[in-house]
Amino acid sequence: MLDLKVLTQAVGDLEEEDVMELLNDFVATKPSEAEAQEAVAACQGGMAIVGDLFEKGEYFVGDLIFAGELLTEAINVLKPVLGSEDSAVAGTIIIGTVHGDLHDIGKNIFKSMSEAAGFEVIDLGIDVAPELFVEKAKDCNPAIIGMSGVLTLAIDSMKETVDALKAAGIDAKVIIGGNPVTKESCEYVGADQFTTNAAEGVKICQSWV
Amino acid sequence: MKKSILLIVCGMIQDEMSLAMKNTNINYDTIWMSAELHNNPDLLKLELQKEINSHQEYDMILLGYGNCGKALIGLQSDHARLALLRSEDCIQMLLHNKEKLKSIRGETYFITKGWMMGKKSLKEEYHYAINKYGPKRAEMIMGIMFKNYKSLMMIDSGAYDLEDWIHCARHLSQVLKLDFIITQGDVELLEMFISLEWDHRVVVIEPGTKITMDDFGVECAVASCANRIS
Repeated sequence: MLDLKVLTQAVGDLEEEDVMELLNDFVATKPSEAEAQEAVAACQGGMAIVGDLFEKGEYFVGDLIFAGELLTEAINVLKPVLGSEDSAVAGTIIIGTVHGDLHDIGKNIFKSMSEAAGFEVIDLGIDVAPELFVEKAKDCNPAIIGMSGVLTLAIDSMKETVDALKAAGIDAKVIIGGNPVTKESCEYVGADQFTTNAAEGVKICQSWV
Repeated sequence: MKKSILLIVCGMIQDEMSLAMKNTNINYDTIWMSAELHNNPDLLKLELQKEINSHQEYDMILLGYGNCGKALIGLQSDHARLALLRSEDCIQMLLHNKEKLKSIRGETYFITKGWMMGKKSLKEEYHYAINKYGPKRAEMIMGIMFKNYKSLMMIDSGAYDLEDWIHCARHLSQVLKLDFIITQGDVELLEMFISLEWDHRVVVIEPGTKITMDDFGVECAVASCANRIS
């Protein structure tokens, strides 16, 4: 029987061997899809620990990157017991690093975590022009649009993008994420929510669908 | 009795501000804020507001920050006036004369001695990854971290001895597989700021008024425009 708390802590501690051993043993027991989803949630809980430790200054950016890789690895182990591909998706999210910014570490971690949470994620990549966000939003009709950035100038690009989305009549929820994002910049941008923590971002998205 | 001016400066540009003070022969009471705070705009805002609140005996507080992470937006002072540079961040402060700064920002990692000395500096990040994950994993991690960067640009503003740090910077560029570039910066903008001989690149915030995005707007917009067409 998988101890979910132990799994959460092992992910939080970035103990790759422990995480893989726990999950491989778990998968060997042929768990139900619901039990597998609980394991995913436990891994996400571990990612929240990673995010907290980063904010407290204990973890480095490299730890966040490793955590993203670890989560992807963990989800891959769980995939065979997570149910069929055609199971209902939680919702569609379009994400991208905004125009003028090339930083995608946080975006990629958010992508892994939101996919693990059952979202269909369309990743537009880096340096994404507002027009591309609009075009893809028209094509895919997403429930949520996520914009990421690290540079201070990203805030202005986010605002441009939100303005373009509104002008095009796109009514998806908008979440912004990244180091320069604050309550004030969220208001300035005109986004619905902001976060500097990928795990928290996924929770916000889950509350919207 | 009221004292006159307090300078609150990001520790990241301590060398550069110290040079500007030396060049202008100006010495205000100065608070050097931890350089680590620039990684967390919310915390930086909180700490700056605390310092502002507890130093209201000054006539004016000069904030030695750009619009770093938008951390200054929302700050206010009850009695002392605030003054700040209309600069995107400390990179723009030191490279304000550089054409096309905006266009190279995304693919360039800028460093100075200050950026290499911090507890969460690139140097520390790399050593931490090597120690924790081993060389192979560390290379993978740093590869992901820097995959969209092309250059490591060392800013020489004369504020520190380049020779003491160039080996470290060059080594980092090699392990991160980035082009190594040394570029000339200067502390003229900082000198103008502390000398109080201000032009449009400095904004004064009256007591009881919050710092807004518009306070940074004009100069940042001008700089962006100039960089686009140059």
